[in-house]
Amino acid sequence: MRHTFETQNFMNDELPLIQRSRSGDHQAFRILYEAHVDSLYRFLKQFSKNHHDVEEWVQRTFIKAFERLDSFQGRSRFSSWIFSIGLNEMRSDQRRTTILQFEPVDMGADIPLDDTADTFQWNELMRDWLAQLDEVKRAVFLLHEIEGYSHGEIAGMLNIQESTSRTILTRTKQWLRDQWNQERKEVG
Amino acid sequence: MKAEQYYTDDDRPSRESRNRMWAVISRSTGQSRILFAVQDSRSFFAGMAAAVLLLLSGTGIYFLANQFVESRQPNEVRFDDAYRSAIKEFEDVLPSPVQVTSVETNGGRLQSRIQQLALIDDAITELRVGIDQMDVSPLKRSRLRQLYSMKLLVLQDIIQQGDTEL
Repeated sequence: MRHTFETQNFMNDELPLIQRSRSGDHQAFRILYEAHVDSLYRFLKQFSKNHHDVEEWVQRTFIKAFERLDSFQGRSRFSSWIFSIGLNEMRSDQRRTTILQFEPVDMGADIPLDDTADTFQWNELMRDWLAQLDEVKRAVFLLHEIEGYSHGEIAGMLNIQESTSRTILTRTKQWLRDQWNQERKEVG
Repeated sequence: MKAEQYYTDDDRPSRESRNRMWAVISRSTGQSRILFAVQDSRSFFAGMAAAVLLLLSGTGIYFLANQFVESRQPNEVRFDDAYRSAIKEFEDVLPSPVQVTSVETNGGRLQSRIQQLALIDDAITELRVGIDQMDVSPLKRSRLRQLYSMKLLVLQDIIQQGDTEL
């Protein structure tokens, strides 16, 4: 999914639908909705246990997307554009409702980055640890590792620097791995 | 890691949930965009029609006002205007004096006619400086008419003699 060829094909497929939607064709927009609703929903579901919250974010995302279709330049994937709107909706709600049921975890910004972070192995236990992280760290990890977006795309979605996205991901992996090592020690 | 492995069934929206969300989206966006487009085009055409109507009425008012002003002028002034208008028509179809003087003339006749025209123009200008548009002093008007008539004759002569190519 991170490759340019796939991105290009994906965009070519969707551009006619986007054009038709711009001129008010509801059927075309329904097709776009069906193509993206599952991935957006499951991604946003990682930020709330409440289905109603997630439905609300998804609805607002697609309504805003429809209203702002004219501003979609086609320079990015439609899906990443939709995700960035969805993230904004979720984050503005999280801020409003004070947010975070979890304290942001300090992953030790002063700890040097581990070069072996690429050897990271996912473990099901990490799902709960991931849920303890703040929304930006969680979003970067999910968007890159699960959804397959590039750091450039993530930077655009979260309005951060590409290098920041890389750093956040590396630190998150490092932190998850440390948690895992500690867990093993305790069990052992 | 693949998305299918990470997400659980609980993370995916049910069919009912998808339909429910679409119903809200459709209701919120369905009419608004079409309505906006229709309102947009309506405003455009209404604006265009208003601009055309404004232009037509402006032109109509201008001509009416012009006619009104002209009809209120004394006969003497209208007579002068007729002369000037005729002279202007002649001058428009004749080459300018500068162009004419650069052409080889027939025994200097055209040159002399141009000099005559220049003298008449000077006299007209001088007389008009001391005469108001609405001044109907008989003596000045009579002199002015003579000059206009003279200028017309000279112009007519230039055309009739074929001294210049029209």
